[in-house]
Amino acid sequence: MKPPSLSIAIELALKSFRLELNLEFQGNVLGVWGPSGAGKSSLIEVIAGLNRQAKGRIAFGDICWQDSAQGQFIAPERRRIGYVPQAQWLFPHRSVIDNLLFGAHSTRGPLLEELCTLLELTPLLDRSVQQLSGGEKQRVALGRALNNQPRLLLLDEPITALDISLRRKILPYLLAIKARFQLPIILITHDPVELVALCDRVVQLEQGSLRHYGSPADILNAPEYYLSKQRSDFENILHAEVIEHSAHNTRLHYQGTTLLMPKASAALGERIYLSLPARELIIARQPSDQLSARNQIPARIVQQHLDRPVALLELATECQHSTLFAEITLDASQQLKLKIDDPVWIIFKSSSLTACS
Amino acid sequence: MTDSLLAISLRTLLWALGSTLLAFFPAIALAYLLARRDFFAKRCLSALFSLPAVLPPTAVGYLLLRLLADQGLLGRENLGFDVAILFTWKAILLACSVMAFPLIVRTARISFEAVDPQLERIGRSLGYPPWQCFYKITLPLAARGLFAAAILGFTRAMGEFGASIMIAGNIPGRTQTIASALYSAQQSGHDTQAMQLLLLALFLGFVAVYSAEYLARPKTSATNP
Repeated sequence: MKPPSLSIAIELALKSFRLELNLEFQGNVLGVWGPSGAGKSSLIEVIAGLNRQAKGRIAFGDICWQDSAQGQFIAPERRRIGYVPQAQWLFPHRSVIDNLLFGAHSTRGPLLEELCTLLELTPLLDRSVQQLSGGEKQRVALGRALNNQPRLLLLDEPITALDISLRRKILPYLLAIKARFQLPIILITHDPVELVALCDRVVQLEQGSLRHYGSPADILNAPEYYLSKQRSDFENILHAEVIEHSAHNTRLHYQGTTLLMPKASAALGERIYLSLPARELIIARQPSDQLSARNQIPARIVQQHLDRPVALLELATECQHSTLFAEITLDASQQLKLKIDDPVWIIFKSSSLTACS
Repeated sequence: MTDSLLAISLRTLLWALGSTLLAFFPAIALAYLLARRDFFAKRCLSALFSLPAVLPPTAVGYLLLRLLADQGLLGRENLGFDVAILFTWKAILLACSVMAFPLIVRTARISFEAVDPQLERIGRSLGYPPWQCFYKITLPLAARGLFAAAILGFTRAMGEFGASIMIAGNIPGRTQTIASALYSAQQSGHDTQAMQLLLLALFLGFVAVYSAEYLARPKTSATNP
């Protein structure tokens, strides 16, 4: 069964710009991407019905939620949405279990039990909200939204760029929710891994306007995204299957080649997301067995960006032509006489790979 | 002095309680409105309802007297019937309510403002209309502050003198409170009785303010990061 479609055509005056969006989405997870202050949270609030200032039309499935021309507006409590904002997730005067049961359609039934297992909430149930860590609070808020049996889930991820590893702790839970509930989700995220791992389509907002609507790869592989990042910030995201664990390493299958990384906790056969910083990649004309680096992948140069202090190479892997970015010095690029379409080898250490989910 | 100390105390407590109840609910409604909504002339409304707290109580009393006098806006000639409030215990209730009102509004407004409005928005996303969000989320989180507001209103009503004396007089056995009885006792040289009334006022005032202080400091914060 196809998920209901979401149709949005809205305008909203914000402090220094207008949010204007015209969009049809039918799928599982829609990502909302863009710099902070681009109007992402306002968009979510308009969809939720929590911001009545917007003009235009919003329809979900065959229900019209808002039609300003007809003077129609369905109150947020009648939209059957799950809303998890950036902060202030829980009701401080209620325990965890009372938070989970707070909702007009919430029950203490099999759904709650399943959510407790899925989100690992069972040990938290009797605690007070003050005793929870940030990540635990976020999970309880997710559980509370889902226990209310929403038809659309709206998630506004906080920008806690300070600690990316902490932020990524929520990713496995979001993946589990996506797999278990065939529920349309709109996700504001600042994490490229979440974008790749979760989203079917992505809306890229800039100053309130739609800059791009496409696949996560479209957005992350656009050179302007890379160029907008601080040097040494950019990560390639690889989706690979665990095929073998040894004493210290894990072997993975990635697009026809085998990769080695420090021992991961994932089970055999599981497909996991890996982060590989662009600065960690070495480019060679030939493979070499004289190096300590364990990973070597054949690829082809698709594009070179030489207008920065470092050269940015856009590479397509030989097998399935997925894109990887490598950052090397301009000197190295000149010395190797790298040109578009040249076959090369991408080389990196096993410790350059980090598991994200 | 025809009245016993006990009778004066009981009457004062009862009237203070009654006027607090009378002022409390409209004050809470106004406080919530001021804390949560932006509307035209909000500051104006807020200032208007704060006036009893800054005006001399006798001025408020005189205003009420003019309003309720036979030719006043709420007097017999305008309404067509006699509301028969002046110089009765009802006038005490009215004067005390008016004087306590701004204090309750102010304290309640601060309590409401301390509850993050985001929590109500989450409540609405979870299927509850605004009044249920108020009842289930904001009210319990602001409860201690609202209780403190009621106690402060109560103490203001207990100590009320200026406005009451203008519209209710100081009739022993009928409209006399601790405050007006103390005034009479001092004026007529009954120092022992004045001292007793002073001690009584001190005790009741201390208990009330202490409870309000205690309640105003919540054990759990109304926000969570």
